[in-house]
Amino acid sequence: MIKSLFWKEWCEQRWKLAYGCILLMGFVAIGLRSRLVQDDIIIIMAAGGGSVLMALLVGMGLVATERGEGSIEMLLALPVRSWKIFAVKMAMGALVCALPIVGCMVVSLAMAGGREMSASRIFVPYLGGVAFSIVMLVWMVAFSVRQPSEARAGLVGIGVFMGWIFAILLSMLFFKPPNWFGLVITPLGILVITFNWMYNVLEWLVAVQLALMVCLLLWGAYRFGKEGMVKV
Amino acid sequence: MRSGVALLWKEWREVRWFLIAGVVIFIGWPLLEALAIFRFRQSFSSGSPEGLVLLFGGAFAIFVAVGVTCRDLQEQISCFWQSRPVAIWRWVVTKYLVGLAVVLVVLCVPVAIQDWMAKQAAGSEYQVRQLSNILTCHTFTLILIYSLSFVVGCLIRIPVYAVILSAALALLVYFLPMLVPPLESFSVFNIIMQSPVEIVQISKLQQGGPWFAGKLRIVKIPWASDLGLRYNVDLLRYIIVTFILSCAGLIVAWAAVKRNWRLKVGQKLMFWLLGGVGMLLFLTVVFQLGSNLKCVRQILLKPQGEGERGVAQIACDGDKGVLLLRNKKPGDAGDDATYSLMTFDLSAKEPFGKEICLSQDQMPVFSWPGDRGKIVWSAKNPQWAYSIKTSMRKYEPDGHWFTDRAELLTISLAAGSAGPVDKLDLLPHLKGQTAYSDSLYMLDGTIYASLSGILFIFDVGIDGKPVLRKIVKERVGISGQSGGSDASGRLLWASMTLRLVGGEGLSVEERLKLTVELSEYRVMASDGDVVVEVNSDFIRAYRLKEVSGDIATLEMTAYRRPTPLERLAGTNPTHVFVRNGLAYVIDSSWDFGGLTVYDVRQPQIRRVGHYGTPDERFLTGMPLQDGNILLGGNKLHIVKPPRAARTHKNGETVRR
Repeated sequence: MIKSLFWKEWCEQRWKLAYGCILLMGFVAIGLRSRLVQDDIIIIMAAGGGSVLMALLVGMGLVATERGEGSIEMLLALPVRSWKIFAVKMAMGALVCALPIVGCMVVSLAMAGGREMSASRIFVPYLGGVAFSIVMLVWMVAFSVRQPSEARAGLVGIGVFMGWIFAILLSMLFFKPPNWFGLVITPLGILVITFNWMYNVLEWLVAVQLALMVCLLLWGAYRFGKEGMVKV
Repeated sequence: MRSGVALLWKEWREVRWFLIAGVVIFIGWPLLEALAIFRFRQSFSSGSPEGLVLLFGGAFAIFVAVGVTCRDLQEQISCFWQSRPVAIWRWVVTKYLVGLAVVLVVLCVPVAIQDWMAKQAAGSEYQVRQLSNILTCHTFTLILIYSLSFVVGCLIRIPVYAVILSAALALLVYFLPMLVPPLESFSVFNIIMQSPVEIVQISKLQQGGPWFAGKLRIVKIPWASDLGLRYNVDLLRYIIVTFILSCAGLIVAWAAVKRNWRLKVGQKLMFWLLGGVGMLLFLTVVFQLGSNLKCVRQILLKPQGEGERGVAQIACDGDKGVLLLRNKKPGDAGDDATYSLMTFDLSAKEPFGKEICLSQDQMPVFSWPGDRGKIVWSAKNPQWAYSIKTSMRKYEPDGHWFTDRAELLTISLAAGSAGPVDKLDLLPHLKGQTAYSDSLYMLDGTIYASLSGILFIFDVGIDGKPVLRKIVKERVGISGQSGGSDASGRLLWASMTLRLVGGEGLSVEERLKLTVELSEYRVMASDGDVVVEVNSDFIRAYRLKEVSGDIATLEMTAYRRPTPLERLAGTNPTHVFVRNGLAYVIDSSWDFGGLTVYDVRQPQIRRVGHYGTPDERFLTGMPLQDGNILLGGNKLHIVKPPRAARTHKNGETVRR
């Protein structure tokens, strides 16, 4: 049954994988070939922008589409625990988020490895991009799991993102730079820390974000299988 | 309650949440920032409204337009509204106007407040002008985006898809006119940068004359002529176009609701459309600014400690030559750079030879970014390089600067030598004149040195030592330039007169080349009877028309202005050379620097190639014997010329 669920998710999400790969890898290939700006700017744009784009795109269609189309009831009626269905969805979502960014990394290494940046310098921002994309997906799905339409799920995702920016800006009013609180407490810190090679708070960042992610996943799985009316 | 008021009340009830959200974001955040600034600096001000409105204003307009349309156009609610005794046009127009009012209030009020606060502060004229420009021009862009999103909302009726399609349209409205040169005058950013809201009094206009009129591209407004006001023609055209498109949008929206037109679209189509628009814009940028020239070889410069080094000048003959290197330690200011000479032979396995560090009193002085001609070298005497050294001092009693040193240095490049072996003092020949700039050029074994227009000609003996042959006191170089443009500012004709170097036994082309190479504060080059001049505003090609005595007259044959995107990227040409009708322009901009090749044979100069070196500065270049180009930045690049150079020789097509 789990295999069938994976197959169903794959059929639904594969066009997003193709979309992400073509768009992001095309952007990286053209940007690096044309040498429009420095290589690190192209790489940061692909890893940062790509991670946000993929998380929003995947997060919008993971659960909210099922609710919008009314297929969630049938899904929950299957002889599988609801948390397993949620886990399959999240696993496929994470894969679709991560693969285009990994593809960008391969393109970057093939086209510009050792040109302006060493292989490790190229690898780290993409690693940050993959991690951020997955964390953002978890946050977005956890908060939008009861939303009845893609539009609302998308708005929740944008709201979550804006909320992080707002939290960082707000913390700047109270903490003098370097503002470690703002970086560690919000997932945006993953991008800031990996793009700027600031590893002195990496352990804290990983610990805080992992803990938050586990809590959000548990909360999301609980709300996913919960019966009752969804507010429209 | 009258139906009109009832409609207004209903719309207000629905749209007020957008107003509240907009006020929180666009007024609340600047207020918070102003409070934070007040806490630390005791001044209550915020610079964020203009940035917020420029960045997120379009997105807010899209959300409001889609919000006011999609909700009421759902199947059931739409049927209900059509059954009411209210004309559809009243319902649609009320919706449109209430939404538009919210957009304008939320997005114009913060900028207007910032503008008002800037006017209270002293020394903020530039900021006030910029804010006025944003308020005047960007408001119409927001109206257009709102109108287009309103139509999209009426046609699609599914919020998420309507937002995506509207975002794609907004991207096109903002960026396509900036990227496609024929649409230049419909770009809001171009119009903002032109300072369109500068109101010109008739008296000032008369004082300025036609040049002033041409520069501002003004148009007379009949109903305002008594007031003596003129406005920029581009702004008027932009306002008219946005107004017409917005009205058309409203009519289409009305027709869509009345006739129940619907566009059936899916999620996939929408996302591919948005991605496609993004890629289209990116490819347009790449087409204009990207690299297409192939790098044949890159050679790393020998490192010198932890500092950075770049090539300041290349003097070469064939594959061999000398590099003038600029070395900087980490944290050093620009003036603290040291210089050294290094020989190279590109055909050898180990391309670099010995490095000779120049001491403080031997270092050349670069007086402007495009300054050149600090060293000369010839393959006939490969063991010698010649450099010029001048310095100035301030005369304290009256504050005037005077030249206290002017020397031609002969430097031995042979193994085991260090520093100059001979100095030729030129100061006595200046007779109190101040040399603000200096440059050297070598032609057929003769060295020409220009010190602020005074020309020194040296012969080089068998022992490599230069001997002063002649001093020419008449200033050589550009003696006059004129041109005429049409009302839109497009250059129609231009001519240039040059006082040529008077050299015995030199052809007119050689005299022209010498004159151009020794000209100060101009980025120019010549090849045969063609002279190319380039700066951040244009590239022009001139052809020699006639020579009368030492005076040469040249007429412009080709002209090109940078595209809006090139202007935005920032052009900083510092060096140019011409080969076979192609001008190779070296740009030292930080982000978009590199080598750009222009075809100057046609009246419309075309960009035919580019090689980007975005992370390198102090770029300089020379053509090599095999036709490739040698570029010197933080490393040496050997670049293949564009196809146009390979298929043309002396202006004629070569069969391949």
